[in-house]
Amino acid sequence: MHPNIEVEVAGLVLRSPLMVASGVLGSSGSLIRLVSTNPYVGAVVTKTVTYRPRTGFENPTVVDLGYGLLNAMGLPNPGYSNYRVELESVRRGLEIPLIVSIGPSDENEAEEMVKELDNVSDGFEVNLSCPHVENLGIEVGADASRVRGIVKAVRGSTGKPVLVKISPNVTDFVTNARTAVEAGADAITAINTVRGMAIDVNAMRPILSNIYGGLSGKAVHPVAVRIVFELYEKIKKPVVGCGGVYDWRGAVELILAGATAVQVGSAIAHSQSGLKVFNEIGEGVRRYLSLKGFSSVKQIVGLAHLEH
Amino acid sequence: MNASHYYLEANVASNISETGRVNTLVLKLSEELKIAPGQFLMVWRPGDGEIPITPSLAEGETLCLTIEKVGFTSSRLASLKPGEKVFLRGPYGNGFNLSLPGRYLLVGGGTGAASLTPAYLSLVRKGVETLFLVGARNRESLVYVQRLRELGARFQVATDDGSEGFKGTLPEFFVEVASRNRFENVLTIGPERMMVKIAEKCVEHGVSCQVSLVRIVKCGLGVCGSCVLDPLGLRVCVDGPVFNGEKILGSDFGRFMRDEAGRRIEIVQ
Repeated sequence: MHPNIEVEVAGLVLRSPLMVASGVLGSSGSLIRLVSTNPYVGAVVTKTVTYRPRTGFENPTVVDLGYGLLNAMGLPNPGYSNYRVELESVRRGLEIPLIVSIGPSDENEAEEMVKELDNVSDGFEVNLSCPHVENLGIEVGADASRVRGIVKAVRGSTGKPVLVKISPNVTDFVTNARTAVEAGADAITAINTVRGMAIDVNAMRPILSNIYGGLSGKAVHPVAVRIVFELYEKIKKPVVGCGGVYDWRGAVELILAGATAVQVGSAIAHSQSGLKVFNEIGEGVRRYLSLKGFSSVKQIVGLAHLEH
Repeated sequence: MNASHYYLEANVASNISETGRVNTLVLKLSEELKIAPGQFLMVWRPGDGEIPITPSLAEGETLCLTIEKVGFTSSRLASLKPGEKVFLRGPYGNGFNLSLPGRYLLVGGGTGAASLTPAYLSLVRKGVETLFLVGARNRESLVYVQRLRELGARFQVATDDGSEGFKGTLPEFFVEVASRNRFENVLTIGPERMMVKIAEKCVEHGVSCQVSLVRIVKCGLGVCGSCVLDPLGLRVCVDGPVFNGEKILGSDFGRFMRDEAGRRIEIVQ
């Protein structure tokens, strides 16, 4: 038996449930093209693009903790109009959906960006959860009326699937996700990074120039599992799981918790084999399904819940 | 990958002025640092930022960093006084392959002369026949030649204006030297347009050429895309900084890099 690992998220058919998470390799056309050639990559989410170009924060911007990554890049990006040119060339001939991550600070920016980027994307992921940039990300994501306004503006500007990425750094992430769904989100991506910091004991100073950053990787996996599990019960739309998936077990765990698809980010930086980590995870998921007697990965979504 | 977030503390023992724009920091480390010629370190001063630097000497607990004042962080680092501290993490990336058979010709332009010195010393110690060409615009802009003399290095100098050594550019000198000597391997660090010319000559003559690139390195882990070479998708921080020159000719090499915001900008030098 050769279990089917194709999934469907908000109308997008993915050849594999594994997506490249935003912020990892999705920053240049050539890297997007490179990752898309891996048969176990089902979709690529780009680096978050903002209305204006951003240079990001001074180095150090990333701390490799081994069990995770702590980053405060500061959303460096060329701005949506420059990025559009880059995406235009890459999308031609791309075999998998390209989901553009956007970080608007208000409705007007959201509308203009989405209209401009609509014909170079297959869907959008709205980043309302970057934990370290002022007036963008979590500052927006923690404010229900701004979430509603921005998601409505995105929804009203495209017919393509809209994912909203939420933060674990707010008490009431369920309300946030519900607000996004009511405003027109087709799916929720959970989670973005968890706020944290690191201090160098020799320098006796915070390592990140921004002092605070966002933790990703293995360390946040249980947080992601818990949030995906809870969202699966409380919202009516698909959940895309993201957080510390390093192997097939991590991916299966999120799917059993309720994720329709799973994003992989930090593992790419930590894997000795680079992009082959997608093969390892994808083949492992397939082996697991086969062993457990399932013909499709869709059959195990949310299976960890009691009602099943 | 041996990257770690633990920084090694280093004390500035002395600061040598090479030119008006370039200084060499001689550092004493708290412990020995293993770094292969051509690999780089991330060098951090809290409050001043962190940049990638390929050391110009790494012997036991002594480390030399030859730094050109290009931006804020490099200017701050190049101005440090004895007794001040910097913090190092790494090594990162792939260094030079020095086990290829045959003779080696090293070509260092500007601060590239300094960054190539560990490779030169390593080859000479192995008994490999090695010739080192260093160059700059003029005599005043030559970097690291004093240190090379102290190290007993055999090297030849070219200056654009002929104020010292061969009169002409390094690629011109390279062609001249290569016409009189046979080499199987070329290593080069310097301005990218210079390296492109050298790599092209090497391809013409069927000589292996390793070039070392500089880009804005942010994550150092190969994920952020800041240092990517399009259209190849090669990342300077993990796939480089040393590349086979032939493999990257025709790419962004010598033509484009990305700025802090990830915009592709033209390389002018």
